[in-house]
Formats: sequence, structure tokens, C-alpha cells
Amino acid sequence: MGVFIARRLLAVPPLLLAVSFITFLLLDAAPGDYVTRLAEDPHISAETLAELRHRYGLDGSLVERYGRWLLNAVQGDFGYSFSKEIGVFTLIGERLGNTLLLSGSALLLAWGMALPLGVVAGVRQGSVLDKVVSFISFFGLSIPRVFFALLMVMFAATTKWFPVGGMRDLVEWDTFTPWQKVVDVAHHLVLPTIVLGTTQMAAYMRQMRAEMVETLGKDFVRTARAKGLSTRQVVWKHAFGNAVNPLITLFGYSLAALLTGSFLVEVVFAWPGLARLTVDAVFSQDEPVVMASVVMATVMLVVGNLIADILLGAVDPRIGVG
Amino acid sequence: MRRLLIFLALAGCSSSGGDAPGGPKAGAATKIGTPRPGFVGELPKGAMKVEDGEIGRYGGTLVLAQPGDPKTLNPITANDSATNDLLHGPVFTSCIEFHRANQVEEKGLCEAWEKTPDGLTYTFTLREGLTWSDGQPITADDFEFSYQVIIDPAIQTATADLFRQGVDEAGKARFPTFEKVDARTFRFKLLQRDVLFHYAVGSIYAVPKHKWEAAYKAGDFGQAMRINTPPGDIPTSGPFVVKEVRSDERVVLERNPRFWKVDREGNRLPYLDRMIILVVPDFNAAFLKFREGETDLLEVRPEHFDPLRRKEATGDYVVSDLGPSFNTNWLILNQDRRLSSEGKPYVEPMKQKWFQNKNFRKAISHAIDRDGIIRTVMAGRGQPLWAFTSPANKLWYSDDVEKYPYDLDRARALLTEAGYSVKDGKLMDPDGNHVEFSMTTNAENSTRIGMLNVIKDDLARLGVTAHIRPVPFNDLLTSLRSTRDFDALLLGWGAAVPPDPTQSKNVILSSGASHAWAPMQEAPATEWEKRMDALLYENAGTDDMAQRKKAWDELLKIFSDEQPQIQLVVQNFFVAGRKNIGNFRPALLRPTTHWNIEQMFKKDAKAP
Repeated sequence: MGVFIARRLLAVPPLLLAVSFITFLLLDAAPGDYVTRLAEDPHISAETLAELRHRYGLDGSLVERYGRWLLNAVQGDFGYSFSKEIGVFTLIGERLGNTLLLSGSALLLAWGMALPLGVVAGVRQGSVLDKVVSFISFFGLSIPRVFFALLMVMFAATTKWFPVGGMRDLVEWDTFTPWQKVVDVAHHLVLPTIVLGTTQMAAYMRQMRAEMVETLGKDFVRTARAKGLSTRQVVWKHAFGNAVNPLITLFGYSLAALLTGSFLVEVVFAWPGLARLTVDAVFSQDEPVVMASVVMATVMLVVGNLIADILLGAVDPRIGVG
Repeated sequence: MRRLLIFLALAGCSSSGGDAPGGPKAGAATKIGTPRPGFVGELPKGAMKVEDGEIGRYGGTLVLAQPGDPKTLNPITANDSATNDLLHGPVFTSCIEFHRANQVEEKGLCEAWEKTPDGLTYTFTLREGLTWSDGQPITADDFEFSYQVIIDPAIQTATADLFRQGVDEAGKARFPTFEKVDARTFRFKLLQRDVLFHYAVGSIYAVPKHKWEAAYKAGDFGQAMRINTPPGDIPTSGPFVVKEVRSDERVVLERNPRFWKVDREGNRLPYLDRMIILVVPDFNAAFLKFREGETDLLEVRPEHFDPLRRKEATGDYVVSDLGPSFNTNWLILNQDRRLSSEGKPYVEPMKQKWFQNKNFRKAISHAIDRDGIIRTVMAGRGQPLWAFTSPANKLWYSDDVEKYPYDLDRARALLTEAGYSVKDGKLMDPDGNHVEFSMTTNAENSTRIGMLNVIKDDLARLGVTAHIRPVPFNDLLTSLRSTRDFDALLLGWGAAVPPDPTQSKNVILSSGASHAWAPMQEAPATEWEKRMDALLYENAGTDDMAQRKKAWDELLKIFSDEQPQIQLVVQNFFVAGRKNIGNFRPALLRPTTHWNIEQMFKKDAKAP
């Protein structure tokens, strides 16, 4: 186990190196740099622009600048946001909680619905419930997430049952009791969670159903039935444990998507999470922020995969991870 | 909902009204309502009386939405408009202010200033008894410190540009020297005359020395007053203090209990208890929030005008037309004579000949149907622009310039006179080349692309083949400022505050970086550019208004005669505000909707 983890971790540095270099390359290839935008103001002098470029270290060659970034990053210094003069991880830390809240609740919704519904649909193939579940999952799989999000925003705007965006009522927030604050955030959370959760749920649900159908046809299930066990016991005690194995890998991957999977939804719903921070940084070419987010997302992906593999090893003794 | 909001605001803030030793009782009721938090300490002896406007009432929260997060709470290093709008005025004030509606300068923290006849020494006197929001006095030391920070090359601020007076032998920028006379008086010694030096001083948004000197000495000034600095820790001089900043969500401002202005009946300002700025992703979101009644003020983008107007009769808001805006739109033909770093000319010699020909430029200008642009691209809400200055500028606009009404015959005559001819419907230059060039602008701006479409069709009628080349905004700015790889370019300039001709020196002077048709010239390439340089220096070299105006008017005439920058149109500017906002006096200069925030009030704030 230890060796396995060590081997996986050893693969991380080259991966990070490649990912960060490609990101840097792309940032460099984009027209202009962080300072360019300031030139729209005719009053700002060429000297000031040049000084700013020098100060942000934007005046070197690509290799030079990447080398400087790498050297600092290796020592744990990912620099300051150009625009806000705040350490990038402080900025990211401020948003991390909001993003985790959204993607966490979506994850809960997705798995909480996918497993039971998938199992039931698999057990009662062809029933009305199965058809409904199929419909939901096809809907979730086929509808583009951004379109779904926009539909929901429109729904909120027309019915006024839900807030159109944001994470809290920003005008009256200060007058709320702690309990009202919780309710307010939950109210804002409903629609983005549904959008994010449904699209994830659809895939897991179909997978669960398929695994269940396959498992129920296996010999050991027939044996269990022949022993005279109740359907309930057969399904949940014998079949489920076997059918859920492949989904555990998926669960690990969905952990990896915790930080970045919600980008689109965050932007559409004006959720104050990592997405808006990163997207703004990309548009304004605030290099240190973009680089740090990319590195973090990569690490998250690696860790998620690792967890997926370890979990799989834990539930299925046939798969050794030694 | 709004009534509830005001009630809550009144009820919610009562805890923060501290007790002031010796001062009037905090949160005490007055005949125009109860300010919460209440004022603290004595009114400064030199308090400024605001003469115009209605008498308001205390209380209420003003809510507005703004695209983009504030980047910093440091008024000196702020360099984007979202941050400037937040800090310059509502949170920090300066020695000399500019009345946005009347477009005249006004006294601010300084009660008086004077200069010696040679124009080399300026003396400023601060009002008596001013304090920062933390109770410490505002003194000449604070201005000395802030000035030192501004001109420090290690601190990045565009304000330093206003003070730069040439360079010394070593190539380092030279600046006027600061002298403290006494606690309330300070003096600047200039190296050369600068007729608008007091405007430069007016752009010093001073920060308290007692608070930030340590950070500056430690080399951390850039990191002082960030958006995550505990807001209670930032002493301010404006009508508000920062209460909370939640990145990408909102900024909450609360009354500065020690503000130094009173209304004409002696009520201390500001009237509003709080101001909330919602951070929204874009202008669309700002519009939606206003339409839903969540915000009180809105700068109306052209695309949102119709939906707002349609519902105006039934809504609780008014949309006001402020007339032509300060933002000009123009087309330039690249006259750059320089060679690129590879030794090649920026512009093909053949095209250089066209673009440097005055008749050619005038013909192009006559061939552009500006009314057509206004009709098709701006839904009729704009006007043709002839002068360099927008008619929005009350003091410096001049109508006495050459105008270029849509006139193809005139355009053809001008071209024939210059030796151009038409062959098979194509315009040929005297050397027999077909006139064909590209016009570039930023792809993100549909109004600009629309203008180019109209211009392209117009030019086709002359036999000119013009291609539209939309590029990303950053590419456009890079082309304009450094790579110069374009034939024609369409863009616009905004206005600085105050909108004085000297602010345009980067554009007008042939050595300027924004002299867009041929920038950074070592010596003026043409006689008329030389004359414009001289006229701008003349304008900036005297305080005799008549002489300044005369020089500027002549410059405008040359500019319109030569058409180096073909002025196109100005769009009308609209703002919207709720009917319950008192002293809502929107202006064309930023911050357009709430530049007089200390005077604004909610008419339905709870009665005393």
C-alpha cells in the first residue's frame, strides 16, 4: 500500500511541471498582458506602463518568467495577485469554502439520489419508476449544463421563488439572526445544487442501474434467492455490495471534480467561489492567480484518483494495490 | 421591501453608535431624523458648508451594483475605475474637489490655496479641526507622507504622472519639492510652471501618516489597505468608512462619524447611514438588479435603455438623459513614419502616402455618414462629433470647427484634387494603386463593429475597399501602443477629471504615447503638429483663461481641418434612479450617479 501511494505521488511532480508549463505557455500566447488593459486610458504614460511591467516581472522572456515562477513555487511561494496584492492562496482560501459548499451539496444530492434510484430501477426493470429514472438520467446527460443553468435562472426570475444568483441576501444580511442566515444561504443554494447535482446524478444513476441489472443475473444472486432470502436481503445485502464496486472509482473521480466541476454553474449563478476568481484572473491575465488555481486543481485531481484507487482496493479484495 | 430595509438599517446599526466624550450625544435625534451611527466629536471649526441641494433627512441605505470587484482599499495605488469610483469621493477626499455637475473646482479639505506670481510656489491651507474617521487630526504631515509615497518610484501609481517635471541628468524623474509650513499649511516648490498644478494636488487622496508610515518604511505600502485588511482599521477622510468587503459579493460603507461637511442649515453630512455596493459579474447583472428593485441607481447601457423606458411610467424610477457623453469615438489612419525594430516601416509606403495626404483624410471624413451610424448603431441616441472635445465639456467645447457632413461629391472632388481617380468603380491613387486597407477595432464591442460596418459601406461608395478586422481588446491596445500593425483603427477616449485640455497632452503632443495616428515623435513631423504642440504648451502655460481658451480653440480648428483623428459620434448618456432618492444629480463625469453621495438621501427615511 505504502509503495503504491509513493509510486503515485512520485508521478505528481512531472505532471505538475507539464501542466504548469502549458498553462504558462497559453497565458503567454494570449494577446497582451496584465498591464496592457491599462493603456486604454490615454492619460497613463508609457513610462508608468513600463514600470508596472517591470514590477510585475512581465518584461522577461517566457522561459525566464516561467523559471522565476517555478523557483518561487518550489519554495512554496506562489506570489501575490497582481490586481489585489494579496497572496494567491489567501485569495483562494477565501473562496474555497463557498465552492466546497456548492459542490459538496451537489455531490450529496447526486449520490444520495443516484444510488437508491439506480438500484430500484435496476431491480424493477421496465416498471414506471424505471422509466421515470431513465427519463431523468437521459435528461441530465443530454441537457448542456450551461443551458440548464440558464433555464433555472429564468425560472427563478419569473417565479421569484428563488433568488436569481449570489450566495446570500447582500442587503439585509446584517439584520439576520444566525438561523436566518443558514436558511438564506440554503435558499440560494437550491438551484445551483440542482443544476450541478442533476447532471452528475444522471451518469451515476445509469451506471448503478446497469451494474445492478448485471449483478442480479449472476449465479450467486440466484443462489441467494434459492436459499429463500427475501428480495430485500438479496438486493441490499448480496447484490448491492458487488454492484457498487465500479461506482466507488467514480466517487473518487467526483471528489477530484469538487473544486473545478462547478465552474460553469458558479459563473452563471454568480456564486462567489473559485470559478469567478479564476475566470476573472484569466480575463485580466493575473498570472499568479491562474497558475495557483491550475496547480491546485491538478493536485486535487491526482488526490481524487488516488482516493478512488485506495477505496476500490478496500472494498474489493481481488484488487490488490500493493 | 425597501421600507423594511430602511427600518432594518435603522434598527440594525444602533449598536455601533459609540459614545463620544464631550461631543453631541451619539445617535441623538435631530429635527431631520436620527443618524445611526451617530456623529462623534465636535464639528470641525472649518467645516465646509454645502450650499446647493435640498435639505435631506438622516437614515437609510443606498444600494448600487457595480461590475467588478474593488481591487484595493488604497486610494493611492488604485488604478481601475471600479476601485476609483469606490475610494475617490465616498471614502477618501482630497484637498480640491471637482463639482461633477457644474464642472467647476471646489474647495475640499483645503480652505484656501494660492500661488506666487512666478507660478513656482503653491501654498495650501487645510480647514481647521479636520480629523480622520479614527479621531486623529488631518494635518500637513499626512499630505507630506502621501506625496512622498506617490512620487516614490517603488510605489506604482498613475498619480505620479501628474507631478513628473522632466528628468535629471541620470534620467530619473524630477518632482516638485514639498515643504511643511505648519500643521495646517504646506507648500510645493515647482521646477517649472504648471498651470494646473493645483489639479495635480487635487488628485492626492491623502492617507493618514500615523497609520501607514510604519508599513511604508517596511516596504509594505503596496500591501497596506488591501481588501482583506480589517476594515475598521482604515481611517478615512470621506463621508463613509469601509465596514465590510466581501470579494465578488459586496462592499458595505457606513457613515464616517467625523465627516467635515454640513448642509446649508448646519446639519452634519452625510445623510445616509450606509451604502452597499453589490459586486456583480457584468452590466447585464447590474441592470437586472435595478429592474428587480434591488438597487437604487444605475448607469444605463444603450442595450438596456428600451426595457427601462418602457416600464418607466409604472415603475418607481426615473431615467434621465444627460445628453452627449464625454466618450468620443474616432477613426485614425496610421501615419506612423517610424521603422519597426526589424527596420521595416510600420505602414506600407503606398498607404503612408494616402494616410498622410490631408485631402485623402478629409475625403474619408466626408464619406462617412455619421447620422447613419447614429440611426443604425445607436438607435438614434447620439450626435455627430466634429471637434476633438465632446460637447459634454462645458468649458472647453467649441463649435467653431470645420464640419464634415456626409457629402460624396465633396469627397470625390477632394480626391480628384489630390490626383486620385476612379477606374471601374475602384478608387486609384495617383500611382495607379487601388485604395484598399483594413480597419480594426475590438471584437468584444458590438457598437464599434457596427460603426465599422457602416463606414465600410460608405467608403465602398467612393470606390475604397475597406476590410473590417476585429481583434481582441488587448491586441488592439498593443497595436495602438506598441506594434503599430494596423491601417485604420476605431476606438474611443474617455475623459479625466477635471476634463481639462492639459489632460490630453498624451494625445495632442506629437511626443505623446497616445498621439495615436503617429505617436512618440522625436520632433513634430508636420507643420500642423508642430503648431498644435505649441498651442497646447501655450494653453498650459498661463492661467489667463481668455488666452488659454483662445489657444485651445485654435488647436481645435487645426485638428478638425487636418482630420488626423476622424471624429465620429458621441452617444447620449443615460442614468436611472429611484424616485425616493433626494439630491439625485447625475453628471457625465465619474462617478456619474453618486458623485455627491454625502448629500444624497432617502426621502422615505423614517421621519423623526
